[in-house]
Amino acid sequence: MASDNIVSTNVELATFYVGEALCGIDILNIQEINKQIEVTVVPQSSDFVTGVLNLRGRIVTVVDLGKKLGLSSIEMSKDNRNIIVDSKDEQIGLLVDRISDVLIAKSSQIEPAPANIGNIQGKFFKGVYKTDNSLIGILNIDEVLND
Amino acid sequence: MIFEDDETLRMYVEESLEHLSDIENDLLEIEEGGANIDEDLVNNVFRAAHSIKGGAGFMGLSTIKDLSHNLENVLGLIRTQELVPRPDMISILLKSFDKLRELIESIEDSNTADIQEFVEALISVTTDSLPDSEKGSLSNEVEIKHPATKTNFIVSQYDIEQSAKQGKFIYIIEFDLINDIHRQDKNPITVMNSLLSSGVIIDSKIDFLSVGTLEENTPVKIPFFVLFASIIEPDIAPTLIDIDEQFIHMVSEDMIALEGATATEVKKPEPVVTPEPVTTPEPVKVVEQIPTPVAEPVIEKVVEPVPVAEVSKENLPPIQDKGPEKVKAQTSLRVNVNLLDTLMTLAGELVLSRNQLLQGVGSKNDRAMESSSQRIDMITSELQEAIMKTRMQPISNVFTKFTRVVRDLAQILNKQVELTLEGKEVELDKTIIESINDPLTHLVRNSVDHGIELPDIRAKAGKPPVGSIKLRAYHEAGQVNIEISDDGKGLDGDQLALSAVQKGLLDEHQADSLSGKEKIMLIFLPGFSTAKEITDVSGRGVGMDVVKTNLDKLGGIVDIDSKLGVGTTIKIKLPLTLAIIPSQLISIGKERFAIPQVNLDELLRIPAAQVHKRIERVGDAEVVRLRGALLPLLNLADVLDIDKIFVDPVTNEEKIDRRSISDRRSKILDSGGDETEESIEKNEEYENLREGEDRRYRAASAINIAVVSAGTFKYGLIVDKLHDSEEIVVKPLGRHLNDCKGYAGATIMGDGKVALILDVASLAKMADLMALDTQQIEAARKKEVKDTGQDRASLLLFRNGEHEQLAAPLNLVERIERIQSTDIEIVGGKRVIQYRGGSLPLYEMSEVANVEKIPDKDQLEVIVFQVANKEIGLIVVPPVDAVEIELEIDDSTLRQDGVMGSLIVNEKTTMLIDIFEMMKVLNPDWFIEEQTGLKKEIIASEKKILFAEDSAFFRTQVSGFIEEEGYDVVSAEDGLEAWNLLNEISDDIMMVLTDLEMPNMDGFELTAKIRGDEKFSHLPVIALTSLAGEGDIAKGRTVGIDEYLIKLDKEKLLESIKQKASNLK
Repeated sequence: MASDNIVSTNVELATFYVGEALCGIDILNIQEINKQIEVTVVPQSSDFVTGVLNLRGRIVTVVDLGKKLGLSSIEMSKDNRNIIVDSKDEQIGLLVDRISDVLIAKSSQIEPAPANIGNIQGKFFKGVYKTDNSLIGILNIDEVLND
Repeated sequence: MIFEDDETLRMYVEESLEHLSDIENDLLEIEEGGANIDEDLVNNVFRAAHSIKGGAGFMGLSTIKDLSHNLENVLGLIRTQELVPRPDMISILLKSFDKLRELIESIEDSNTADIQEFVEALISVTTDSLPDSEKGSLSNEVEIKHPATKTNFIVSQYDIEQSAKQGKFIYIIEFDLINDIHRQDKNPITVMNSLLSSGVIIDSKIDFLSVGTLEENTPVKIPFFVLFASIIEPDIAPTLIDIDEQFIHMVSEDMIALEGATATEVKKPEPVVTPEPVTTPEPVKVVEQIPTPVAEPVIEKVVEPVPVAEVSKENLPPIQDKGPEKVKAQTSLRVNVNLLDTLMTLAGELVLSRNQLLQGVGSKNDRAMESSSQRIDMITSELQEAIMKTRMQPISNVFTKFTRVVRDLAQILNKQVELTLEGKEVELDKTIIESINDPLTHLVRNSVDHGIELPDIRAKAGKPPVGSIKLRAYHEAGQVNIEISDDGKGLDGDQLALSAVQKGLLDEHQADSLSGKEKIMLIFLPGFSTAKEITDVSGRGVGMDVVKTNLDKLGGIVDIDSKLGVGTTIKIKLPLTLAIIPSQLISIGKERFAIPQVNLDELLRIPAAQVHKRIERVGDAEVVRLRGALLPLLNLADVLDIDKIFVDPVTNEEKIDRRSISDRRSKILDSGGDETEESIEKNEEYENLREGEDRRYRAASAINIAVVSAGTFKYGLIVDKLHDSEEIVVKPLGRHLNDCKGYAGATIMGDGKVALILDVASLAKMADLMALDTQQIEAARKKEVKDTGQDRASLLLFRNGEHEQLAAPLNLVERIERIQSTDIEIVGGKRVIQYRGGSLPLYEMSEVANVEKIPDKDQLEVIVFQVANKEIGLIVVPPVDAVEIELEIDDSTLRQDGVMGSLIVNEKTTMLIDIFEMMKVLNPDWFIEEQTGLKKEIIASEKKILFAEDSAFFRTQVSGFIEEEGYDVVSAEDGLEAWNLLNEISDDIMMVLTDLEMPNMDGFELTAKIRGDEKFSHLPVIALTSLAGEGDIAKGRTVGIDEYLIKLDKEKLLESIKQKASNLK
């Protein structure tokens, strides 16, 4: 269903780095991107949860996207960003290493995801977008945040 | 299939549910009324069914239409008094309405739902009431064709005949959904409703055939046909219905044809045999007052429909009881308009104040800022209150359901129960209302099932046959109380305890030690169900423990009060709201947490110096002594696996704190299993780690404990820091944190950071700290009392005058005699009494110490002590009582001659007397004699006994009575000191007495050292202890302890010393 979307129209992608991997999310899924990376740790939570933060009165769970995708944890630096996405009526923060450009992906250039992109399982992707010099994995947020 | 857009459908669902909401109570009232039919009530119900049917036809919801149609038929008969409602009929109606609600709630799947059994049951109710000649009409169908329309209706003959009987005209009205309704901005439902106000909709359908295909441009019209019966005359019909005359077609008799028959046979249909089992119609009359029992209670779990043929005496097919549906979490809420207005005003004010604040900030005007921040403060509180009000719902939303629950259950169980509801208007937060439904239902069902007895049993017990259950809600101290009381058989605590033992939830010893109330509370233990057999009524695999857990989650407290044979009252205390709660903030390391105030009992700070005294171990659990009771402890940092932080008092650095709360310094209570050597060794390791200065003795290392209760189960939560208490707003955690059980949610603090809210019940579960543990501790405590704990002793309590309480160590007491004051003789300036053929000298405390004098009394008690081989009597005032108590002796405040010190017993300052000292003061000559006499005899070697004991009290007591015997005693405060002393004056020591548990070096180690040194290895070592567990004895033997003796067992000790001393010679 979602992939149909990609095929039929052009998509605006917000791209960012998780480790060395360049990933993208359909910009319509993103509520905001912020630098609020100081979180309240939740003891006993799954290892991919960095903690919770207060986003204007809402408690938002922050997920370490690196851990969640099966890579190593996001390294703390000043470039870290929280990408707040909507998933199943809930806002969730995705902690990423750093953000990159927003670009318009032509649907014709989006291809189905291979089984594995840079050590990340293919099921997490809706597809891959090839630009002249890079390969962007378009994340399937619902699949990534499936618990 | 569902034609209309979402909006209309949603409106229909909401409206229908509203119609249905009151039906249950109306029906129950109709049932109560019996033959005296309250027409208004019946009309209410009838209208509800009718409107639902009307809308359903329009929406294409055929199943709902069928069901509501059949309901309407039965209700129609009741309305026209052709049918007298009987309880069994009402049951069918109730269940059918339940089903209807279910269908409407899952409207998308409603058309595929199976309602066969309900329809059949309803039809059979209707058939029963009809005269024989009309019986067939229900199942016969007629076809109505009107020449002017392309459509035809197939409806039940009964409907047509009913309309004809009432002198109604039958019309086919043809609406055009596009032109008549949509284009005119009308809503289909309002159109239906206006129709309903003037007549009856028998059937309706949308003619899809005439809509045309998608390929064509927009369809010109969507015809919607309604078969409408009304008393409206044909000439005024168009005006009333607001539709062009040409679309209203009157149906004449000749247009009605019996389905499958020839068109002419309309008016007189042959009675066709019904497909139903032929049943003799029950004469309609007022049925017995008692609800007729259904032959066999229909068990809910049965899934296959009961075949109609083999059913009940009543001729009515029963419908499976699905039980009342759970309260669906509401998604919309009705709010009083006034309240909304208030909210609006407040919101307006808030905006104004914000503007002022912004202006103030902009112009840096402090005064303006201050005043506007004050305003904002006030408005926010008001706003909060107003918004909370919108969430408040009367508890009647839950309560009224129970009328039905009780009725249905009582019927199944052949019981007679009257339910009284009180305090229906009490309001609670909507979320609480929703979540107390299940626990309350369970409790009410329990009351009917297990509480109320069968009528004949009640009669035998002299109670009225009709049992009474009372549900009562009321406010008290900012909380809502709900009471469920019945006058049934009550709970048998002993039976409960027995059953708990049989189920292995308790051992007999534990069961014995429970109080009556505690036994009753056993029903809340997981895995406990009181029903001998599991019935379908209450025993549904979940027990009272689930009820309790659910209530715990709400911050509620349950209490049971029950008297065997008289009844049971269950009391539930609930907070008014869950959204904003007062709570205590605490922190572990850098993380802050909130503990809801409802769960918090008290805060406890144990000063560093007392840590080792107050914190003890039972098995591998830590407990704290709190006002005589033992409280299990939970280290929050351990449960949540957080590094604790302590601030180094010297460097001010934050370091990770790894101290264990209780260590070897803490007593180890024996909780049944004996301490193993391993754990003792571990304790020694601690000691090695602990060389040098003890960090414990700094204020910073005091321990903070939040005493929390999860229901009746209390425990202490060890935290790093206690902060303020604050009102916090509870916010839910995201789904990725669902499996973190220890939290009830999160909240945002004043600084914008998030703090987690602790769920104390779950935390206890996570740490396997369960209510049974407390019992274990309790058992350990009792056992400990029996063992005469190391710091505990038995004291004899007595009085000197009216006010002063005194005590003496019980094991020094020989006897207690009651004497008459007239028996006292004064001879040679001394008081004596004839006693066992001799004279017993009598003394009183005031002779040596500054205490009250013995008042003049006829009867006195004399405590007989043996001092220096002489018996003496101490005159005291009764009552004389013995207690076992922990000895925390203050040896300075009240210290004087004859008084060793003071301690608190039963909340009274008590002087502990020193009888030896007293006698020394009064009769110094006795002791000189004594010593010279004895010395010759025993201590030829003039050697001393080394006595190591850390407790000052025992040190003086024990050395006191050993010295009495004429030995010299050298005492040491711990093993280390003893060892040093031994090395210093080794030649003078003939024997070592040692306590086992001591700081710095314990008795085992001391013995080991003595045995390891050839200078001393020959010395006899006697261990004085209270902890003579097998493990200790074995350990003692391996290190070389010669004998174990219980402290303060004077005689045995002296005998043993004497024997060892003579062996030495």
